[in-house]
Amino acid sequence: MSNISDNSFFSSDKNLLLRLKKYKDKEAFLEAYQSYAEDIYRFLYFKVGGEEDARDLTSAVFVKAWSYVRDGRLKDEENYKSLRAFLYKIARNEAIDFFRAKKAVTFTEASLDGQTADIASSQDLLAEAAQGSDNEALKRHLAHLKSEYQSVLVMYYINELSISEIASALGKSKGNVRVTVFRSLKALRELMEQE
Amino acid sequence: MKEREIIAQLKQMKAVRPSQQWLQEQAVVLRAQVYSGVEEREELGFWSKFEIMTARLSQPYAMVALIALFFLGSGTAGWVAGQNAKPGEPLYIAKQLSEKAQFALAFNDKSKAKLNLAFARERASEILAMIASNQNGDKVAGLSNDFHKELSAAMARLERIMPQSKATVRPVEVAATKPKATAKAAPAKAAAKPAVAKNQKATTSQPTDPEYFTAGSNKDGLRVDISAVDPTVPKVDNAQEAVKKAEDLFNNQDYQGAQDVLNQANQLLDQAK
Repeated sequence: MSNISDNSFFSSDKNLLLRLKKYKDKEAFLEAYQSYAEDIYRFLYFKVGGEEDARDLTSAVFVKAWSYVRDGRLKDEENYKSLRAFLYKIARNEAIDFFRAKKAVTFTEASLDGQTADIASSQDLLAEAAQGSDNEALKRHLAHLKSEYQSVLVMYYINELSISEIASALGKSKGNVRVTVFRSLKALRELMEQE
Repeated sequence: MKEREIIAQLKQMKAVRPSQQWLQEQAVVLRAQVYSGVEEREELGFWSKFEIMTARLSQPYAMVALIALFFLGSGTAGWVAGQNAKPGEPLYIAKQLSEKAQFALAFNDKSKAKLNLAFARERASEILAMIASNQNGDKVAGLSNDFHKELSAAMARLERIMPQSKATVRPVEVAATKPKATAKAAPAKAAAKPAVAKNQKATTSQPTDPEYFTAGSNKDGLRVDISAVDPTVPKVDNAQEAVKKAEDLFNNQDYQGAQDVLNQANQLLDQAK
């Protein structure tokens, strides 16, 4: 029997979702991890502002996603037209729970400074990302945006989700997401100009 | 700062990644959790793959295309097969459905009236065929009833779209539907001209060249002279009058005459604005 992971048709987002819904296909889930773990990590990194927390939450997202698949609850999630949107929805809820637990609603400038120093010493790849002071400023301002704007900017511009995927993940209409993308970019620009 | 620059900076943030080592370690942990004691890898079988492929065909766009193709294919096949069907034949139902579909697709009174006239003409033609094949009277009575229904509907629509005062147009001289004995057939119009010239000499009452409709047929005897006036077809100068005349002819069992007059009515309707 051929290995289905060699076949891009069966590994497309929609077919992975179908395989998980219909067959609770374990290999499909592991393929989904390989495809989306980085993106989910990045999304959570910008949400919570720290590498360790982002790692923990990324693991939690996939464990929770598998519990949905295993218990057959994914079948009931008719709203999700893409697996990626489903994973982002879980990631967003995990971030909300994280902040509730820590009672740290915002990614404050003070904590960012501390975390940035921590990240710089512990993660080479993150240092690559922080290309100069402009990027640092951008990250700081992103952290000051309200949660929804932050999510939309990361999903749309950094992780390159489509408008319909974002709409599905946030439970909003496509028109509403377009408006939010526009407003969040405007808000970010205003913050950067104030500096 | 321009938005374009901000977007460019945002895109650079894609470089934020977890370490590959952590990702791989996590994949191992996840695999252990997912399989939880099951050692063999599970892979999709042939039928599962087939089901996935067919399930993808159930996507809305694919379904719409398939349904459209089905209706187009079955509609066309039914229309072609049913055109020559006579009452009592299995394909006659396809003909009736085809007529209903045509009627449903007509969006104004003029088009519907034209269809009513065409269908009435068709009923008259079917009665002729039934009589020719000595079919039972029940079917003829049914067709006759349908003929009158179509004419009534056509008349009602004609009253709406062209009141009597405006409906009068130049009288139409309708050609006979039967091939003329004098019109020696030629395959095409160009080829027919010498024969036409010969006929002209013989029948000097024709001031211009006669015109023939051959419908692409190259067979002798199958063309129709569309320039000559058939003296047996009564002249009418408006569509309503033509409909009444057709009904009279039909009641007098002149089914062929009724068909000819209905043709006239349709042409008059075409000319009317």
